Amino acid sequence: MRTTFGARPGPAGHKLGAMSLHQLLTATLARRRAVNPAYSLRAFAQSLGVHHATLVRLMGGRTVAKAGCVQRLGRRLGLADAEIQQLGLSEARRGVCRAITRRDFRPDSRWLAAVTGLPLDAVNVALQRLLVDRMLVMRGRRDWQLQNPLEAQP
Amino acid sequence: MNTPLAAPVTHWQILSTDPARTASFYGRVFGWQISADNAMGYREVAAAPGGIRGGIWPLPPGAPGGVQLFMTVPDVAASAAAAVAEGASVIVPVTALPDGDVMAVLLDPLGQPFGLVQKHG
Repeated sequence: MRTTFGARPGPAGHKLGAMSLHQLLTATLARRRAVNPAYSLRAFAQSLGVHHATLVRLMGGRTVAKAGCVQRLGRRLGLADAEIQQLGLSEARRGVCRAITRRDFRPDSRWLAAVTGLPLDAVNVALQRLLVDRMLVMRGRRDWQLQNPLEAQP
Repeated sequence: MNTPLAAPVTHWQILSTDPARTASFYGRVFGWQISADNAMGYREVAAAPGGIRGGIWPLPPGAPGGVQLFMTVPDVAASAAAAVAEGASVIVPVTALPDGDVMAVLLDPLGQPFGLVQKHG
């Protein structure tokens, strides 16, 4: 999953093009540590206003951040509104992809909303984007296939 | 030249970055009956007498809104191919919806989006 940020150095000091949230967090921490080797994960979490355990999950890509969380993190990282929106869309898309690969998957936006914690409209926006990008094929009422399983990966 | 396909416009769709607000507005002002009681959570607008049914679909923040017309055809894939042969391009490829309908969204040669739908059953 990749955002469509313009490839320019962002406020966090990285080129934001093609970065997902967990990549952005990881790169930001690495950059801060390059400046200050003693910079800790806890200090990073504190600067972002999240618990360090939450940050570990986000950086590992195991947690899909909800819109409010993306908004808070984006603000703390100094991202522009448009970049935060893109990051939110990217996270929603990743959440939907992960849900589609679940064993108990049901081809139903309401089910996807329930398991991802995303608003129904955000789920449908993500589905539409996946269809447009040819990353998802709906062949039948119960036959949805991700064309690139990596979409669901961290 | 191919024989034109009989493809009546049977559905329209408003694209909105705030579909709840859009639904609320048209519901309050024009009394539209809107229900999202379906698998996609699609806000369906019931057809009033003399009108045709429609819907409201969400857009990501910042995306330009608009209205799309959907034509019912017997075979979405065939009609999409015919449209592409005449200069259209595909946005959403042939897709089977959870309710059994099949749809696709294309851009006509002038860049206007339109939809094709094949009704279930």
